Amino acid sequence: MREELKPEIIAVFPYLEKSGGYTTSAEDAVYNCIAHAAGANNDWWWPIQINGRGYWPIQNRNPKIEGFEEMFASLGYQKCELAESAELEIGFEKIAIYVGQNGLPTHAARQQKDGSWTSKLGHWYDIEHSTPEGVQGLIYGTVETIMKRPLQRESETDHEQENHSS
Amino acid sequence: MSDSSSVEHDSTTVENFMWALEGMGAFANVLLLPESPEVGGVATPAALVESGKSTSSDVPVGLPEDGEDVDEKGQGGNEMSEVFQRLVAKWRSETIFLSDLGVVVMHPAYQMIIGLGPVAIPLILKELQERPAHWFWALEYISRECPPTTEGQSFSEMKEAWLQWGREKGYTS
Repeated sequence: MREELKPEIIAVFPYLEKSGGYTTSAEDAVYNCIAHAAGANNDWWWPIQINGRGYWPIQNRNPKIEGFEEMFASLGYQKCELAESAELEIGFEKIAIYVGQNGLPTHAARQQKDGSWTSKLGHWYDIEHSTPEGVQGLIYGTVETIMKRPLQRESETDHEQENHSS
Repeated sequence: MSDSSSVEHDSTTVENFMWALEGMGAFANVLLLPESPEVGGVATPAALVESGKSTSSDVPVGLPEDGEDVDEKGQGGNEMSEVFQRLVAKWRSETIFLSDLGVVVMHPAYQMIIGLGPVAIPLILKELQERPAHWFWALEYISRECPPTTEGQSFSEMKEAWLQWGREKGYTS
């Protein structure tokens, strides 16, 4: 699935109108942006538990940016220097972590092999956006951290993952 | 696991709803404020962005009429169903793009759905089946029960566990 961005998405993320993008999945409450950025479209990853439940891949459930960086570091990602930023680097995959006005993480996106970025919007759709800034704004705030690791999913077609329910 | 008849919530729907209103204080006002832009009766994300604050319905969410026949299994009560659907629409439109479940389940509309009490259970189960979302906490808080789950259980497994629970308790067929 790769369709034009739905108007309701642009209404929430107005920068997408300028930067462009696509809707790449149906609505799906099974997984969220953090899991999607990590390449796991089968669960909802968030450090804060409710009633003792909620998946997080590491023991330390620090909800601050450092906690998210630690979690992605456990998956092999290293924090980028500013100069590397969000540019495409052949042989690497990158993720971007967003923080809201209170400084707490709100979202993560993953760079695809063609340099575009993919985001899962909460319970909503997967979208593709040309730059990390595409989903910045009132809802997700701004990009705080870019991390990268050697490319590990050679067989994956980022526009439509095999295990997706769309 | 206890039978649903042992649920300690007050079965009087209006009282449950008012309890929710009182418990939320200023949050409740969000639902009762005058109108902001809507499409098809549902507050849109666009309205949220344009206004820079929460959206609300043009008509207050409303309470069931006194004496409306709503039993513990939620049978009957069209007006209750309408209240529920309005709360769901509001909750979805304002949280569907969020990942932090703490924020999602603390949204005033979600909390008001919990405040509806046991009569909301069949409505929530139907919603969970038709448009899966994170209704597990509402079900757990209202029913004071929890299907056999583990921390590592996936969304799909939790959904099926709750739907099975609903069938065993007679909330759904």
